[in-house]
Amino acid sequence: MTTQGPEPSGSSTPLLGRISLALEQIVGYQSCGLMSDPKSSGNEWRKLARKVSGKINTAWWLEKLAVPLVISALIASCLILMARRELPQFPWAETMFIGLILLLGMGLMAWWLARRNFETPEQSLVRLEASMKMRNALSAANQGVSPWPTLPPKVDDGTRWRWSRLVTPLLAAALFITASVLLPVTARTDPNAVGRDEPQAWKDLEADIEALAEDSTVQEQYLEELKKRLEELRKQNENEWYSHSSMEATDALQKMHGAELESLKRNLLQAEHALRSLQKNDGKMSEAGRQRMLNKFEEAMQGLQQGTMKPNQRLLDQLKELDPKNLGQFNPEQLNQLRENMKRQAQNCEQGQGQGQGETDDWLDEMLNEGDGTPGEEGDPNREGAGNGGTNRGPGTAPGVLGRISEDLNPGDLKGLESRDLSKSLPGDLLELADGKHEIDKTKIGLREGGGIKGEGRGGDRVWKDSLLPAEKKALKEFFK
Amino acid sequence: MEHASETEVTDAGTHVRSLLNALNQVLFGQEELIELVITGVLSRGHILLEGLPGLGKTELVKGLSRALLLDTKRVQFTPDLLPGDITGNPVLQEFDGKRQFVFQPGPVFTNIVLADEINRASPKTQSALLEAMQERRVTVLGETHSLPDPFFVLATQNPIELEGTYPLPEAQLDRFLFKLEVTRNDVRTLERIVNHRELGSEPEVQTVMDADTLDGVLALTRRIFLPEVVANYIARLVDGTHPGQSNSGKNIKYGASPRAALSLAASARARALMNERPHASFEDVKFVAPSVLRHRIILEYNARVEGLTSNDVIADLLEEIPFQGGATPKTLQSTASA
Repeated sequence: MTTQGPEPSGSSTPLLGRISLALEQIVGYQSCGLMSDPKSSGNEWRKLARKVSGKINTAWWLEKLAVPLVISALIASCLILMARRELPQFPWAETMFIGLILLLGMGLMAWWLARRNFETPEQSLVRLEASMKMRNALSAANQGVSPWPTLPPKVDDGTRWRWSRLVTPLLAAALFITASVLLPVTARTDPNAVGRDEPQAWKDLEADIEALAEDSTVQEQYLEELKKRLEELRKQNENEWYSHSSMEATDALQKMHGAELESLKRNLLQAEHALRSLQKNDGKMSEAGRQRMLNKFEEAMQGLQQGTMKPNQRLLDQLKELDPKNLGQFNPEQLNQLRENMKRQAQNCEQGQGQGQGETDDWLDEMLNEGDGTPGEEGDPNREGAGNGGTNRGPGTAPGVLGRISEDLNPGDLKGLESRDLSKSLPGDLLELADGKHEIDKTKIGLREGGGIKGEGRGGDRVWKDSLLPAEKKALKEFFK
Repeated sequence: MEHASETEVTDAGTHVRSLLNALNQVLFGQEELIELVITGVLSRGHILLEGLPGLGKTELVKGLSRALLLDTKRVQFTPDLLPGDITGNPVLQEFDGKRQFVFQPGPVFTNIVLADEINRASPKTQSALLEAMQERRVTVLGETHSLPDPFFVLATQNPIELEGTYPLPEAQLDRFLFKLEVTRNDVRTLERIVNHRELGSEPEVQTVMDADTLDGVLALTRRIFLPEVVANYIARLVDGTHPGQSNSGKNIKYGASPRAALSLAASARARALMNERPHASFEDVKFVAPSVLRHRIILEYNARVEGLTSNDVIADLLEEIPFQGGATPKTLQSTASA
């Protein structure tokens, strides 16, 4: 500590005294100019010694505080991070209060530890006289042996603050605490927290359920059951969502749902088709054909009634009330509306299926069923198809068994390309249709002489033709020439 | 005991300064040595001067005796010197027809004894000085004889030609207040000696104080105030000479005795008086510490092998032991050199 004061003036007046006192209060100067008597000089030295003593003791306190402060800050920052992770709402006010209490406690503990090193003003007086090379004049004066020396303009206690040691622990502690407060940590139990992404299949199923419920395509009972199963899957531990068993269960559920949708759609379409045939060809259709259509309708109705996924109750009731043998008693408009309704429901099913598991190979079945006309009868002029095949099939075109018949594209038309992920294909899936020839072994097979040596060279030929490098082949050819 | 006042100290300081000037006219270029010798005298201590022959040790002692108007005797220590040759012998004399032993005082009965080449005498003879140095009296044939006051022993020893010598035992070394090393002169001093001295002629020395004045100054030296913090510094310094008590202490096998602490205090007082101060200080202790401690510590074998001397170890110790007892926290940086 260095304290500067004005040069001793040697005179003491009330005015100067007041000015000196004011200066001392403003800039903390130790005035020695007005110390005409040894007593006041002694008081000034003692005051100075108390200041030095305070500085030394503060330094001791800060030294003892540094390590606990850093360690506590480190521990506190870890605790804050953990609390922020575990608690949905971090109690900042309480934490600050506890932190202040801890800081206070730590300060008291550091003071208690530093207390044994504390310096008394008398010891600081010795420090001052040693630093200022005063040859123990202050100690002698303090013991009344010699008069107090005049306070010099510049007083040096021989120490200065080591800022690096002072600031480093404080900065470190502040850094730890700030980091623990500012680091982005999401509370584990935060309701607003973004959880783990659930499997896409669940979302698809959920969307299916919502879509089907919105369109009232199927009965609520089925949807409730599906929802229940989906919830059961969701109730698993998040870590188990993508486990093998979970994915397998999801796949089974999805397939089951898809199959149900497919079944409903097929039954609806079949019933609608049968109804349409019966409605349009009423009276023109042979008895066998009529019976077949009735059977189809009946079969579709059974499927609709017995299937797990049933159409909505209203449609089902309408279909139940319908007597396909006496369609004439119904208003054609009503029938058309019913059919349209069935088609729409089937379309809904198809959409749901599409959302759920992507495009399936239903087109193949459709095409096989297309032109399902009565043999010998005309097919639907609006549709392509050749009846149900066979030697006595209808006049329509043959079913496109070699693949989906592409739509006609005119120049300038735009059509989106489909990308099918062949890597996920399963055994039995149709990946590609191509014209090709069988690789036929054209080696003549016939009678051969046994024991001859004609065939000797074939093995060798095969070796040098198939296995050797071109250069080697050339060398062999040259050799055998 | 009343402490010395500034006025008294100033008066005494005038006499001491005169003595200092007088001796500086006797021995050129040895200001520190002269200062320490006077310090030793004011402390009523005995001084061991170590140095090569011809450096002016004897001349210094002679000059001191003349300046102080004190009686001086010189004893050249040799291997065949007997204790009685120093202390004195009873001589059979006839008085009124009767024969009786009469004590014939030896050369020790003087104010200043110059024991030249003390390490050449036998241990028995060396030990004859023990009682005289410590008790300032001599006992012969059961009869105790007090020595004159003041009484100083200024011994010299030669650090070379040690063959056939008897190194002083530790007990005897401890009785010397100072062990001073007389160093060779530099060129300028030698030139001064050549210009102002002649071979065989002794320099003229002016008497600066009589016996009474010297007594007064010696008494005043004892009244010089020794602050508690200085006494504490002396205690810490002496304690630091012991193994394990300081970093420097690891090089020391045996440390200094309490007598060393007393010697430090006395010589610090004397130096304060020389500087016309009524109280001793840390700086006084630091100044006299090497002379007081160098012959009182025994170095470890390893330290000696490493080439360390007592002076090196004491210098380290003085650097290590701070003036004030309290340590400085690490959050503060020391700017003052001790």
